[in-house]
Amino acid sequence: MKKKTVQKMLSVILAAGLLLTGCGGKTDAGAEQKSDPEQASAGTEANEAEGEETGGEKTWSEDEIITLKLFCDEVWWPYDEWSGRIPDIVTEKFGIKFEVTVPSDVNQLNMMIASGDLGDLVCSGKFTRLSDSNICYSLDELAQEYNTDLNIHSVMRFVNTADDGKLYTQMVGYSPNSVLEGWDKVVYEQAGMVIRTDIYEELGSPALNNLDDFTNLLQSVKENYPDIVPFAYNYSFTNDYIKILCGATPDEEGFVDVDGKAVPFIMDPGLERYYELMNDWYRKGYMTDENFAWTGTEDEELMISGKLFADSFYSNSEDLTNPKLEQAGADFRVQLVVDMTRGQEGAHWTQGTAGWRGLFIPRSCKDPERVLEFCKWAWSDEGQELLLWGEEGVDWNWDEDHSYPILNYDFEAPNAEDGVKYWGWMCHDGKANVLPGYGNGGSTYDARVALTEICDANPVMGMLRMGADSNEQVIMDNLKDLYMNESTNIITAKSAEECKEKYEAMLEAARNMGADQLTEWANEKYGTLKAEYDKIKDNKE
Amino acid sequence: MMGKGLQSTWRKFRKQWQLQIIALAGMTILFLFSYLPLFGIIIAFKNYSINMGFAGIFESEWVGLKWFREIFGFYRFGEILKNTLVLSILKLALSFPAPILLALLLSEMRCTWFKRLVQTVSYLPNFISWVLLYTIATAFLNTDTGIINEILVNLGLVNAPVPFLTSPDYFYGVSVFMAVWKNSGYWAIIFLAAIAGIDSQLYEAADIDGAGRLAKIWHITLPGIKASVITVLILSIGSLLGGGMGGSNFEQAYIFGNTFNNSASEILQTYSFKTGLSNGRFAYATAVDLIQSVISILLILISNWGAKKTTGEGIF
Repeated sequence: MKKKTVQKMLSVILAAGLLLTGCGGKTDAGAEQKSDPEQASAGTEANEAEGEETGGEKTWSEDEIITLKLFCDEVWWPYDEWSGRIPDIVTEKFGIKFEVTVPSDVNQLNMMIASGDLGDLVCSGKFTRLSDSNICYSLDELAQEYNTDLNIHSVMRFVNTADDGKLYTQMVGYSPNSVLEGWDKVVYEQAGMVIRTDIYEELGSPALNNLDDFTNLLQSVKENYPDIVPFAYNYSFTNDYIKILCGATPDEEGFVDVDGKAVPFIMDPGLERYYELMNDWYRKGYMTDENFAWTGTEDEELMISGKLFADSFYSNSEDLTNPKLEQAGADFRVQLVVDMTRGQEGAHWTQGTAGWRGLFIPRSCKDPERVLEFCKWAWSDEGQELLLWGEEGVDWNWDEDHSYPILNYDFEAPNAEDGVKYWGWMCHDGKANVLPGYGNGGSTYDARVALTEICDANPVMGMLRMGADSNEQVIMDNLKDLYMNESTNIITAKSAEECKEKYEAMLEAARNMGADQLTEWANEKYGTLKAEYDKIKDNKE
Repeated sequence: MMGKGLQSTWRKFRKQWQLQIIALAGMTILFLFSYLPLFGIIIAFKNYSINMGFAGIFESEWVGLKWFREIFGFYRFGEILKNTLVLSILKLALSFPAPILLALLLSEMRCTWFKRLVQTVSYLPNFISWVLLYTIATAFLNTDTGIINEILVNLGLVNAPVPFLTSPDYFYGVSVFMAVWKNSGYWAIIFLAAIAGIDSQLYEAADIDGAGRLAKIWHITLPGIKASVITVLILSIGSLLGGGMGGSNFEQAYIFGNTFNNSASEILQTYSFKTGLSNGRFAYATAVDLIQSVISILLILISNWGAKKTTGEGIF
C-alpha cells in the first residue's frame, strides 16, 4: 500500500515536473506580458504620494523607487546596467531605476513587438514601427492624461509627427535652425578616416588635398609596405567618408534630393563615381576580399595588430583608436585625415535626418506618468547636460561665453563607472552631443568642422517615412538588399567596364523592383512636407 | 457497452496509469509546443503585421496567395532556391556515405586503442558550434593570415591567396567539407551500433567459407545495417533542405555567408530570417518557410516510396 502511494506521488510529481519544465519559461513570459496591476498600482500610489518634497525637489524613499524595463535597441550600446554616479542622480530625482536590456541581435525588437511585451521604455530608431497607437502611447495623449505641458518646439513637433498625426517621440541628433543659431560651435557628426602616422611620415607626409593625393599615398604604402593592407573600411560606417568625398550619399536607405526631386538612395548618381574609385582601389590591391565579409570591428583589430594603414571609420576614430593602441602596446599612432573634404572637388553630403533614435513609451509601461516625466526632463537642456556631460561644476563648466562646455574628462573615452555620456545618447538634440568636442582638444571636432562645411541640412528628407508594413517599405527593403549585395559585386568587378556594367545592371534591377514607383510616392509627400517645413523652419519656439 | 478489445485496453491502461500519466505529460508538451503553434501557419495567407500582436493572427484580413506570388516574383527567388537545393543535395550526397564508410573502417580496425582514439577524435567536431567553426575556418582559410593559404602560396601552388571564405565559387565546397568533417563522427556511431548488432556467427561462417574482408563487408555488414541506412537516409531526405545529416544549413549559410559570397550563400532559410525577423514581415517569411516545408514533406513521401520499392523497407 505504502509502495503504491509512493508510486502515485512519484508519477504525479514527475508528470508535473515534465509539464513545468516544458512550460516554465513560457508561463513566466506570459505573466510578464501583461502589466502587473499590483506593481502598476504601487507605482501610481507612489506617484500620488509624490515622495517627500525638500526645497522643491522630490525625494524618493527606497520602497518608492520602482524598477522599470528599458530596452536600448542598439546591439553596440555601451552600457547594460543602470549604475554609476549619473544614473544614481536620475534615480534620486524620479524614483526610477532601469533594468536595461541591450539586444543580442537586431531582430529582438520585432520579436518583442510581436509578443506584446516592450517593457516600460524603448530607445530605438525604428520610428515607423513604434509610432503606432496600438504599441506606444502618443506623448500628447499622456500629457493630457497626466496634465503636463510637453513644451516641444514647433519644428521638433513637425519633424517628429508620425503619419497618423500623433507625436510619439523626439528623435535624437536634430535641432531646429532657431536653436542652432545661438550655438556657433555646433558641427555635424559624420564619418571620418584615420591613417597610421609613422608610415605617413616615413613616406614624407605628402599633402592630402584630394582623392588623387590619397590614391597615390595608398600606392606608396602598397609598394613600400607589402605586408600592410593599405585601406579598409568599417562594417558599421560602410565607407561613408569615401562616399562623401565622391559626392555620393552615405545613407543606405531612405531618399536623397537629386535636382529638387526625392529619389531612393540607390539611384543617387554620385554612387557611380564612388564605385569607379573603389573598384580601382580593389583591382590595385589596396583592399582585401575579407573586408567585404566583416561584420564587426575587424578593421580596428587589423589596425591594432599593425597590419592596416588607412581605416575609413568615423570622425572620432583618432580619439577612439589611439588609447586602444596605447593599451595594446603598439609603437605607432593614427591621425585623422581632416582637410581632404575641403580640397576634393564635388565632396558633399546632406544631413537628411530628422533624428536617428528616440525614446518611446510602450503600452506595456507600468508607470507611464513617471516615465513621461523622466522623458520630458531627459529632453530638456538640464536632462541632456546631466546625462550626456555629467554634473556641472564636477565634470564640466561653461566657457566664459557660455558657448560650449569645458569637460574635465575625455568625452570620447568617458569613465563607464560614472555612467556618463551614453545615457544622454537616448535623448540629445543636435548640439549637446557635439559641443564638448570643441573644448576636448582632440581632432574629432576639427574633422567635424571640415565635414560641416560641405553639408546641407534637409530634415524633410528624413520625414519621408514609409509605413512599417507598407508596399513602399517592402520596395525600400528590397532596394537595400539589392544595394548590399550588388555593391560588393560592383566594387570587386574584374575591370572598369565590368564595374560600370554591373552598376547599370543594379540600377535596372532597382527600377524593376519599383524604384520609380517609390520615387513617385516620395515626391507626392516631399513637395507638401517641404512647403510646410519651409513655412515654419525658422520658428523660435 | 464496451467491446472486449476496448475493455482489455482500458484494463491495461488502468494497470499502468502511473506510467501513462508521465507519457501524457510528454504528449501534452509535444502538443503545446509542436502541434499547437502550427495554426500560426495561417498568417502565410493573411495580411498579418507584428504590430497587431497575437490577436492579429485571427483578426488580420485574408490575402490568399499574395505572399506566395511575391516570393515567386522576387528577382532572386531562382538563385535562392538553387542555392538551397544545391547545398542540400551536395551535403546529402557526401554527408550520407561518409559516416557509413567511417563506421565500416572503424569496425574493421583490430587495434582497439587506436580505434577508440579515432572514434573520439572524429566525434568531437560535432560539439563545436558553427560560430566557433567559422573562427577555426578563418584561421585556416583567411587570405591574409590563413595557414592553408600561406602553405599554398609558399609552395608556389597558387600565385595569390585563394578567397575560400569570400568567393561564391568556394562556398559550396567549403560548406560541404565542413559539414562532413563536423558530423561524420556523430552519425558513424549509429552505424557502428548497427554493425555491433550483427550476429557474429555470420562472420565466423563466412571465415570458414573463405570470405575475405571486403566480401564480408559486402555480403554481411552492409546488408546487416541496411535497415539503419534506409531509416537514416529517409530522415535525412526529409530534413534535406534544413541540412539533413550535414547539420543546419541555416547556421552554416548565415555564419559563412557575407555580401561577397551572397550569390551562393543566400538560401531560403536565411532569406526568410532576414525578411521575417529583420524587416518584421512575419507573414511573408511564414510563406517562404511553408514552401520549404511542403517540399520537405514531398521529399519524405517520395524517398519513403522509393526505399520501399527498391529495398522493401521504409519508415511508414
